[in-house]
Amino acid sequence: MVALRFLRALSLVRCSGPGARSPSYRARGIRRAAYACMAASAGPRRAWSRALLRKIRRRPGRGLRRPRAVIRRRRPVGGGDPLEVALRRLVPGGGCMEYCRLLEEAADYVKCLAMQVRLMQTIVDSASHVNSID
Amino acid sequence: MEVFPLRRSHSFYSSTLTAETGSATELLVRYIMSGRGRRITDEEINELISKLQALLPAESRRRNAGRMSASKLLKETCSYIKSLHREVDDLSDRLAGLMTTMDSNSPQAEIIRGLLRS
Repeated sequence: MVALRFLRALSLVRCSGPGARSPSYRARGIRRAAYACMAASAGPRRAWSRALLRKIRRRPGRGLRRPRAVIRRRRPVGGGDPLEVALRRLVPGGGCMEYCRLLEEAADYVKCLAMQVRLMQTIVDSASHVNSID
Repeated sequence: MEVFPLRRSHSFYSSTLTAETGSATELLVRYIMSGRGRRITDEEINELISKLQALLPAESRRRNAGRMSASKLLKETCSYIKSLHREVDDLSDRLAGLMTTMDSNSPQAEIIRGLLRS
């Protein structure tokens, strides 16, 4: 499922960029597409996927938006351990979670990230393999 | 019942629990101090630790045979997530480079179009 979504997103990146776009611009688009597809496939059950989609869809420079009435725990958890703080920073949405919830979300995030990396590696390998045949 | 090696000290503002760093007890203490009321057992924490440890790559697991301490696990998880982020960035760069060399009539594009159609 995530593979199909990502391939569709890749084709959109290609169509939107004419030849004049720099590779770094395209790479940023691909990277954003990769995270968006990963989060969309994980679904809304997971806090990290919701936080990741929020971050991607938030466009910079649009100014303040009216905050929606969402009951969400906003108080950041003060951590004493630098390792815990580092993990909270790495996992999307990890700043406001309970510790055990953070571990569960980190486990799911690692699983989906590894799958996304395997998928992209497969695509790159098959594309370079076809390139080398020609 | 196992006696956890906890020490309790009181201050005016908070009561603190301390435990030996790196133990499953430490995780339990953190959970209690996070203020949530849900009862969590030692087995659940051990399950979380082993679940996270199982997700780490094989070479990391081989280096740390058996049970890892909580702090080691956190460190390995953080470094693994960082390396996965770096791989995503690197693969995005490579894909972008490959896509610039691909034109719309090449066989790769045909493969991708075929996959998208199904």
